[in-house]
Amino acid sequence: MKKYLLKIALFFVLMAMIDVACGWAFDMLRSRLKGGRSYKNEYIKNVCKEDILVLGSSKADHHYVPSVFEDSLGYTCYNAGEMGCGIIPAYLRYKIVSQRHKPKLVLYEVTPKYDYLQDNGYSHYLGGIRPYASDPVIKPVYLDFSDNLESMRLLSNMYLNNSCIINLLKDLLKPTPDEKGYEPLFGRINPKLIKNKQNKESREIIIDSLKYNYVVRLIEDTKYDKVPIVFIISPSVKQVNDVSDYEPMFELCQKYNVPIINNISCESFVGESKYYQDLIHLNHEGAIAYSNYILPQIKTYLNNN
Amino acid sequence: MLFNSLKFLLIFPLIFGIHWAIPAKYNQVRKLFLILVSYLLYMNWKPAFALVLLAVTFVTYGGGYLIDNQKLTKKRKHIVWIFALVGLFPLLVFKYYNFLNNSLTDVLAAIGLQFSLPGLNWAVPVGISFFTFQAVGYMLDVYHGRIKAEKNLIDYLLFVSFFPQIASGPISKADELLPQIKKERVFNYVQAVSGLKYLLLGMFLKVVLADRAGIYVDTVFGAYEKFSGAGCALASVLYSIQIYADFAGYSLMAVGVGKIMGFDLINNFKRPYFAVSVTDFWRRWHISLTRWLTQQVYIPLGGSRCSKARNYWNIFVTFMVSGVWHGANWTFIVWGCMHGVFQIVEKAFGWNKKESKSIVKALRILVTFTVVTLAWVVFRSPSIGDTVGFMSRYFTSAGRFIADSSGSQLVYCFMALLPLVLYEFLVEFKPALYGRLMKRTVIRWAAYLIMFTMIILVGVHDGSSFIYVSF
Repeated sequence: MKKYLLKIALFFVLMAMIDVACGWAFDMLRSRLKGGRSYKNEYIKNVCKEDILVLGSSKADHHYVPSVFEDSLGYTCYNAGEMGCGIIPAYLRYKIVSQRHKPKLVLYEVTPKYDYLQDNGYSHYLGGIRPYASDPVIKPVYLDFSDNLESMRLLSNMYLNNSCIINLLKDLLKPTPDEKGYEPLFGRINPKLIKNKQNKESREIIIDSLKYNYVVRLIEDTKYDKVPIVFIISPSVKQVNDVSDYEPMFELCQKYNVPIINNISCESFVGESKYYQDLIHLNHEGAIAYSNYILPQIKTYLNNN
Repeated sequence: MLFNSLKFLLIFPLIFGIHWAIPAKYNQVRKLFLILVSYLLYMNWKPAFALVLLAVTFVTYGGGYLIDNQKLTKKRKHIVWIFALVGLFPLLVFKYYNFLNNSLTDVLAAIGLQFSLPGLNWAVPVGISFFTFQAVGYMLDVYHGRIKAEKNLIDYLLFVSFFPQIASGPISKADELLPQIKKERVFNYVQAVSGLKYLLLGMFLKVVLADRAGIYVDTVFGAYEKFSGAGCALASVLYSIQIYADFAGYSLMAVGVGKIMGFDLINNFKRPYFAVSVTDFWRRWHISLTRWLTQQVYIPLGGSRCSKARNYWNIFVTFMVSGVWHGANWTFIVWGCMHGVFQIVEKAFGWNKKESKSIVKALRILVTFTVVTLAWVVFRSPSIGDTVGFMSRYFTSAGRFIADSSGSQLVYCFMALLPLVLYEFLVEFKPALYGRLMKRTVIRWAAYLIMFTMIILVGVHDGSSFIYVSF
């Protein structure tokens, strides 16, 4: 039995050494990043000081072109949107950036499923945050969405960097050029797909109170920081008549007297296949047109504050 | 509580410590401790489930006792039927009531009759198919005179509830496990080391391979209409890998935990995707269930000692029962029937006994894998309609090929698959070389450390359940 326990102990000592080495290796790899999504995370965590901060999911990531805002408004801008990103990472991105610098405007692209509706758990939101989960600002929020043993798992450097290695290596070996966080999409949607009738199944709207509370916290924190926040809904290629998913957000914005711009049925974009890469996302041409379209809307809030 | 949860990995050293701290001469105390642990872990899912477990245990214990004490064959037969039905009753109600009710309602509606019974909205107790088959199997063994009835209730309680195997098997036989329960076990270093290896390999298969493939498979099967033929074919292959890594992962962990506690449980898998025929596949896949079905269904039906036609019928019925056992859905029944038909065809043409070498053997492995994979598509689909929809996508090039834009999920899958294929290839075809390699401490320890590193670094840690736990 003694020999058995000693060998187990030896195994875990070796694992601890590998864990420490992994921590160093990942830190070293991250410090060498020049582009890609991993670089974007590093930039937001350590550098971002822009005046306008864009937050939200893939729609934020692909629809708001910082260079358009910078050239026309004279303010710096960073697009901190990310594919599959909901309120959990978005709130943390705001907290991290606002610790260093208070933006002059936060633009938040609303995605009901990711921001306040019930979804399939939280693990897909936490994956991108995990490498930074030991940060004192991030940790309490991260643990709010995790089980009670997660703090123990976070002691491991390897766990902190779980499922990061491929994207990290890809960004190191073939970095995509950084366009201040904006990721352009190219190609056009097949117009036939727009004509296809897609009956949206009516489903019950179930609020995830934990996520919803973080939307409230974001509003309250920006108010406390005196940072104007504008919620915004991107246009859709198909005419959308049912906006019931967005109702909780409309009500929340009304309650807190926060502006929300609804461009979902914007005539300039509905049915315009040349602007879309798929049914949800604008392509680069569409993103430039849309960024120009919302300039006057944003200007109002920048000028007012 | 599942083996892949951190909670279990934290509690298990405590169970291990207390179990081995109890001196071997107090075996009765050890057994009581293991029963307590087994029930507490089982109640972790839902405390009420323990009542079902307890009921099945008492019914089959009583049944075995009465059968053993009855000399008249006719009465023995009556007793075994009554107790088998009562023992199977919770399984039939929890698992099949809604299915039978809905199927009956649909049939009646088709002929214009409106009739429906109220549905049950109860969760199915975890592992009910496994512990029920184990317990009923014991009773049938007593009936067929293969074993004597167990007199010691404590031993029998532990036999049915033993925690490593309760959720997903393996389905142990009484003559294998009961003698081990009765024995005064002393700590065996070799057995315990072997247990840790099984535990590590099982965890690797589940967390690094099965759950990673599962992410990809769920995406494609959930929206197959968006994927091309190649994309659906890739997801089909990945599901074959997922279900193997998931179930074999659980079984290996169960065997591993058993060994660490001083028990040898049956290993459920023997590199099934190297099978050269579907018949061979069933000698290597879910071995404990195949053995149960052979002894309790196939042989009582007449087995192979009868006419060819009757033998084919026996094979078909046995595999239909296997399908029904897996779940209350037509997809499982069709899946079971498919496997029955494949084996009948093999038997009719004599392919099941044909020996092959080199390229022919490789081709046979490939064909068997393809056939089994197609059957898994039926198994995985929520309905027969979805199976048809999914398979019809094989013939189209329109749609996406891969499910994640970055392709990283696939890379992680192949990172885990490569060492598994290498390991299984060596064990299957080059056992001597594998043995030589494993004798080298550096290689052995490097393999353990790499596996553990991969579990933490690239494993999926969302605490997902095992596929077979729901059966």
